[in-house]
Amino acid sequence: MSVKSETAVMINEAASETAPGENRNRIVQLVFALGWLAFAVLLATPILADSRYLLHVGTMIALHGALAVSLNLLLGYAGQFAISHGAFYGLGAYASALLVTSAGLPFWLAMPLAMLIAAIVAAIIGYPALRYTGGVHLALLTFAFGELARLIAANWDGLTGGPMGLRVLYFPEPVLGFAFSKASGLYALAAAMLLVTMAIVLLVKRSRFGRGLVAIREDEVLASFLGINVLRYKLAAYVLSSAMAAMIGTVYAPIMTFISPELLNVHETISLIGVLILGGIGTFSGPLIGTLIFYGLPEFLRIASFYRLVILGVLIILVVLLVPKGIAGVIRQRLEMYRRGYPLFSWRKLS
Amino acid sequence: MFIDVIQTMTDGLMIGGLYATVAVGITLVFGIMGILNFAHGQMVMLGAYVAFFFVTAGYGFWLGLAFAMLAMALLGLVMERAVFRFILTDHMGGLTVSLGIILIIENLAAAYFTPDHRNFDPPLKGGVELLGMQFSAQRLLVLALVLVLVTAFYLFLQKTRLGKAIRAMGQNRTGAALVGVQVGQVTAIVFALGSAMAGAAGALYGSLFAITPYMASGPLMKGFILTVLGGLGSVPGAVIAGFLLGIAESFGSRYLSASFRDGYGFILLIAALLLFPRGLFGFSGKEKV
Amino acid sequence: MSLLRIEDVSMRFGGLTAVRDVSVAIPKGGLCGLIGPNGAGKTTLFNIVSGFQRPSGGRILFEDRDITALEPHRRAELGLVRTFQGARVFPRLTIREGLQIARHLSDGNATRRPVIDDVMAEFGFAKYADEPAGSLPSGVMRELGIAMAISTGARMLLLDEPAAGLSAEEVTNLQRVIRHVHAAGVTVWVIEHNLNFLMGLVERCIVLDAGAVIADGEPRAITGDPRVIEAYLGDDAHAFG
Repeated sequence: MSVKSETAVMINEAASETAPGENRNRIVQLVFALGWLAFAVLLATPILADSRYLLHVGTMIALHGALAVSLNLLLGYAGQFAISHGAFYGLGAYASALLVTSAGLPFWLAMPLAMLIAAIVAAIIGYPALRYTGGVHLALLTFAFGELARLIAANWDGLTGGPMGLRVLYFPEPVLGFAFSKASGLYALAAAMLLVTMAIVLLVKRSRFGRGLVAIREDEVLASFLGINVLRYKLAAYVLSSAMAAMIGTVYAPIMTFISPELLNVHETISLIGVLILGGIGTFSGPLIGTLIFYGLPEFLRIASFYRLVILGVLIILVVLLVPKGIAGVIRQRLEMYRRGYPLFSWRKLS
Repeated sequence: MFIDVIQTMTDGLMIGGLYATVAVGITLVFGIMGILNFAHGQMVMLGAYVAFFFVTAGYGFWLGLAFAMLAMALLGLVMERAVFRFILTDHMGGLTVSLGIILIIENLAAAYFTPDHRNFDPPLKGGVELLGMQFSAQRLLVLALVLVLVTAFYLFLQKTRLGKAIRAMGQNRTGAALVGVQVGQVTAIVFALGSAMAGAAGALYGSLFAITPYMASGPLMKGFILTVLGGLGSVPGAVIAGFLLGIAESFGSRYLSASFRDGYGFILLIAALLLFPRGLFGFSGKEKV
Repeated sequence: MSLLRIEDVSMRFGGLTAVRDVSVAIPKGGLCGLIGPNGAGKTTLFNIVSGFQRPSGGRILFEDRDITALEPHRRAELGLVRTFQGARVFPRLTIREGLQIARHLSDGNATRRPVIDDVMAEFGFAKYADEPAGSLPSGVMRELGIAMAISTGARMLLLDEPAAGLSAEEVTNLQRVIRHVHAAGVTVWVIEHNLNFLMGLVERCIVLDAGAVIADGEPRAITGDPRVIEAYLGDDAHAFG
């Protein structure tokens, strides 16, 4: 009660102060604009610099960024905890590679088919798990599914090549004269995946569907009594997010020219969740910031991969316990308070 | 045919008991703390390594088993005090933190233990002939041990003062605190206890299968399946589900297809979620909304 | 014409009967109360009407349509919306976001949905518009709960003890809000433990005791009904305050 009245007082203070200047509004907008400009520059750098190394690193970062963005739709906006994103990423890679190499389909047909398969599988897993309130069932079931998918990829030698994996010797067919057979073309493809997933998430976020997902995340029961078909919304979010993971997986195959069951390792999914937590779960820029930090920084600092995962593990725990909003969440909150007339940097505890 | 069925049955009970040993810790911790501990599988893995080091150092299997349990109980205690007690009953927070712990433990284990497969000599070798049937002696021993462990665990919860306090907390945390249960202490004990069971399961796994830093996900997946099948938070439910799953897997792989062994549990899980929303046995799980 | 009709509804939990053969009709445009001592079955009855629980027997009709088996969200789409005891809002979302969510949810009733800015003005939310709902004073939080329900385009509101724990001033505000909502054409049914709150507010009161309706009529008539007095004195003599 005392906390409540305290914040109420704070609100009144803020309201009674002189209306925060237009200046502050402008500065906040400028910060956002600079952030997105930096993003555009980063995105263009590998192409402009025309370095094989930067193109390779950029491609991997863009793919992981796309995965993080698509997972954020489910975890961040809908608040549903699934541990199967890596499995659907792998499913997309395997399904499309098999459709192209064994069935002889063109890549651009294999991609939607792989997404369709992922969507159907996600619906079959999601329906029984999502009927329950609270989300624990989904976490349990999707973890089990992820393990099963990895075991299938490793053990079904005849189809998947078993633990040795599968060589991928094709490139997506050119589109409007734009070829994808060179490093720069593949980077453009990965960057396009990132932009497409961002666009989808932005559209969802602004839609009635997106608002419904946020309502479910905040309080499923209240959401249902306000007229939201909770099960259908959650299922749609899971299916959409999984289909996007599969889409990114279809691109992964020709980029890496090799796929193996390692792709479905649960570490892949846990890393993505860590990236979201770190960057700011449920914020639009959070997955991008988290991806840059987790996949970008170590690349340039030359940190061995296993330390990277250990450090991420520690970071996940620290962020969850101490700053659950993540980096983007904190930045957003600071800017919002600044806009309303509070100092930008202060150690005063925010509500 | 009859002999075959009996042997398959015994094998199923053995493997199911092993799964149950993993699952009781998961389901108890969830029931009491509201935390789905994904790092439970890592405890199984570390328990297997502790047993491995003891056995190869010449201390024998029984000391190895005891120390695997002790070491994991201590590690569990440390994790509860250092991390989990800060996010009690926050489902998603607890789950996320346990994922972080997986990354830490598994990658450190891979670095220090190397990814090589390890084995240690089981205490019993060769076969036993019973009623004209051949059984692997070590498998029978494991079956006996899991029965002892799970029964002891169950009796502890049912009969002892501490066990009753734990169950009271599972029903109603605040109520238990009001009647004088030291909630914080008991929570730590629950976590240590669940971890000790994982350590024991690890030692037993290690006496039968290869030990690697990546072995955790298999037992964890089975433990999760039992947790749901038995009704979230129900220890007896998880045990019965464990034996059922073990038998189903054994018969499935003996008479249907061995390569699909890990799929049976998953299909059972989906079917159970669709048909029996409260777990197979109607033990009302603790669905905290 | 009655908007909501409850016909012979019963609810049994094991051996316990929480609601016993209750039949009530709420007319369109009504402003009614539902009172009764603790454990009388008021909230259970609201849970049944709003779809939170399935009755063991009987049926619920809304605009002459049988909704007994409908999910809560379907009932909300039809215009039957409830609030919860205490204040159930989205604590981390701002007032504006909460209202937007409520307004943009259900299909098919676009014409009934009020404009957010109008709702904000009517409820006097303007100065809190961008504050997280969890940081609001509790009276405002209750009002937000009602505003969100209205924003879905509700035809009928079920309010579950909206005044419990509020200060005298907040209670007066709340009564004003409820009257306002009712004047805008929404049928309102309020659960309240305290009869004083309903006295000046509702035109009719239904009294529940031990799961059964024991009185139904004007508030003034109710207070003189010996059965009502007995039910209350047996449990809580403060009800008449």
